[in-house]
Amino acid sequence: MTNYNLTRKIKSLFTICLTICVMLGISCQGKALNIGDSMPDFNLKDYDGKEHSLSQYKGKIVVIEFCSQECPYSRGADPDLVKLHTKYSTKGVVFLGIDSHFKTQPEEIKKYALEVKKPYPILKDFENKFADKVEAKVTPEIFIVDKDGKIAYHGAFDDRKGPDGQPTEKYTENALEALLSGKPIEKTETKAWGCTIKRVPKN
Amino acid sequence: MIITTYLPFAEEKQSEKKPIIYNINLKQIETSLSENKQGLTIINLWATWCPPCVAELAHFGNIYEKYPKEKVHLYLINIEGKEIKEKVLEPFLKKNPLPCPVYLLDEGSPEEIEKVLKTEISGALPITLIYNSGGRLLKKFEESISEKDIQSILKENGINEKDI
Repeated sequence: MTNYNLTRKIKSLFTICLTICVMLGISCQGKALNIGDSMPDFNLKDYDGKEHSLSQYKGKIVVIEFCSQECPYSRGADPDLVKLHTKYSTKGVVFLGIDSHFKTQPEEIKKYALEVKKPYPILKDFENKFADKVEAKVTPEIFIVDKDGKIAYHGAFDDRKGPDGQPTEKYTENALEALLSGKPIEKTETKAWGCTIKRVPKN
Repeated sequence: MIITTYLPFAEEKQSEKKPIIYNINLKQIETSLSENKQGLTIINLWATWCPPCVAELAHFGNIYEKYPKEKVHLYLINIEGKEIKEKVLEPFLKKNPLPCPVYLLDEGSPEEIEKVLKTEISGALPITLIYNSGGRLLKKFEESISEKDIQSILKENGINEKDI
């Protein structure tokens, strides 16, 4: 009887452990972030060495653009991002670029940003730590964070098929328009062609 | 008279070899994966603007030449849309000739194409997918692939180079 009870106890303990493992496994393996989730905070320096965290922009809509000047597709979107910044920064929208490419250094980013007149800060994500945290994979890849710090849009900048291609749907602009006018965003998640974020090679 | 007109024409023909481009749509991709072809089907999604894609095209060209066509079904699918055919793709292929045909996807977003490819894709190019004869996905590369990578997968599946 005692043996039977002990076996039962071990069994139930085992079941609890298994359940915890499965739950942890799911939370690790599943898609890291969903629409409506809080965007993880970061503390990253721009190419001038100035620190930026997401929390400092709380109460504002923030457009985060994973970008890479090494990627023709990402460069192709830049003139339109500049225009979008001109249009929406006056309405209180904050724009931040994040470069997670394992080779590109802040001074190179600065040189490029000045050349193409990219007006907003581009932060250096060394060792692609933040890209890993939010599972960003492509450049350009956009996250729009609402005034409460929640992810309102995630995906492509627009639906163009090449750097100079004409978009038929301007996902980022449409999402910003909806957010600013208090309407639901029609497409909250999209995918686009682009370049892989070149991460630090793993040993 | 005949000779003088014939010769320049022959030279021009040699240097201006027209690349083989087939248009392909989502339905045709889906069908090609359900045809139970012998051997493996390799689908590579690429774009002319993507440097790592361009760099690996030659590897696929070599694979096409080295392996029997009935066992390795290669689809190099450009995703830039049918409108780029004359202005972008043809000049690109004249500059970077390939021994194999290239397929140009009429239209289709990453969301639409991942449905027919039966797997989730990030949209970051290049993407290479390898299917068995039953159309089941064996391998997915969302990064550059080397000729050696492809060769070892072919070997694992009992596909060897042509004897010649």
